[in-house]
Amino acid sequence: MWRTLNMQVDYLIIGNSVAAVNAIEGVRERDEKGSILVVSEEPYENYSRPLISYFLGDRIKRQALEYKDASFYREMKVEVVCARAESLDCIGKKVFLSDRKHIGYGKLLIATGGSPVIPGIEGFAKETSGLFTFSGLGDALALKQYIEENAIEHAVVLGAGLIGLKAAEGLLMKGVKVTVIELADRILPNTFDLRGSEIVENELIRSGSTLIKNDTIVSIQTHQGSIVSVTLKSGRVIETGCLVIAVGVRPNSAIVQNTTIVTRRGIIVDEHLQTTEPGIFAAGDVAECPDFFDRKPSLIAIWPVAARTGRIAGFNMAGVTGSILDFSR
Amino acid sequence: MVKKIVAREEYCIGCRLCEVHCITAHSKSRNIIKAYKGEFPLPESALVFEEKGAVSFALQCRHCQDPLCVENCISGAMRRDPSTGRVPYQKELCVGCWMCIMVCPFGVIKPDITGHHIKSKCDFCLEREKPACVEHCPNEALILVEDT
Repeated sequence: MWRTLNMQVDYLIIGNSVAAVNAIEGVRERDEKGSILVVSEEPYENYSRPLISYFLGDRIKRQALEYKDASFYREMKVEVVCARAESLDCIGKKVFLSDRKHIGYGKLLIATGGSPVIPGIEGFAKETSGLFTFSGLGDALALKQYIEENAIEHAVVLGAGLIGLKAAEGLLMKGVKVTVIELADRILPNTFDLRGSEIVENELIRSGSTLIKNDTIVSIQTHQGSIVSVTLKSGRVIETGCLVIAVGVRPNSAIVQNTTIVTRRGIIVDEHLQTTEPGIFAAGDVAECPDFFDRKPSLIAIWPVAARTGRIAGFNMAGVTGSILDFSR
Repeated sequence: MVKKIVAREEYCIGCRLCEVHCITAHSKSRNIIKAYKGEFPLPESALVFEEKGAVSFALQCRHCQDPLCVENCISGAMRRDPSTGRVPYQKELCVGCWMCIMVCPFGVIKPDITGHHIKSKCDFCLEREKPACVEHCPNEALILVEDT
């Protein structure tokens, strides 16, 4: 698949999730010939991130995580390479990979998504077993294996946002009891109004879960390298063999460091998904694009936004003007 | 040439035979009497029937060229088949997240609140010559036209 390095492509896409997949389709709708290369850190071809909770809960099999046919990349004439894109030279139009090889591009799309934020917790160490985040397939595979091997019956989820609650849902499906800890006074505070939060809260409690609001984890206690309990700000201690941290995601915008590309929380893009550097686009959870309502930069890290921004970025990369603010379909 | 179903509210009298024949066409026996008298549960009609005063019409999946349900489907259960121009729903792939229901601008996908999938969505009666709702509409209030 990956033959020559130090190559030149018409379209280079960094990232391989929903924004990238939609960008591929967007480009191919307008340009059938131009060469497309996808660089992704993840060693999986195509899978749906929102499905990982269903996979964790044994509702679906590993193969069902693929939402595009196996032939998708072949049909779209796309090459996929597993590597980490380290840095970017906007003037020379080159992206440098982790192995110091580089790829020249005509148009570039940064669709690197976000990474889970790890808050400062006393006693937190990456090597401790039983600590997880929940945003990619790697996370789900590791969590699932850990639960099965250690016969985990109870888990703590820190953060009651979309990711935290999807993790909780998957754990419950797997037969694991869940304690959800949220710093705010209600769950899904960024998604719902008070009534909406209340409905989901009631459902969570009905499932036999414990919900602790207005509180957070200050320290983790371990025994022989494994987590045994967490201590909350209120002083309460909860024994658990498994902790899932889901307090938020941070855009993976490191690639544009030391370039002229403007970032705020994410990479700032205009309504055509172009960054402040012509020819370089960003889409999905890494991009901060004008909001449909107030036209101010906003970053809402959900599938529909990623799909739409990816697709429109693809159109614009292929030279057709499309706008994220245009809803006349 | 891809065809689409067009509703003509000026001819619709609100008899709802389109729904009866949609249900029949998707029943086990495909026989109106056997289905209605002997099958339980009956499938849900894939039409959304709108009525206010003298104005009425029935609407089904538009099989959009650029469908929002497909763009937003997290599992690949909604796909557009470019060879037929249709948007079939594959239940076995569906996890019941209902994003398709949230984003459909026509509101023609119906949720199943007991199971984790969707209850009905127009399949354009692909194995029939004409969709059942079009074939049985007594007033030609539902017609097939070439999609331009």
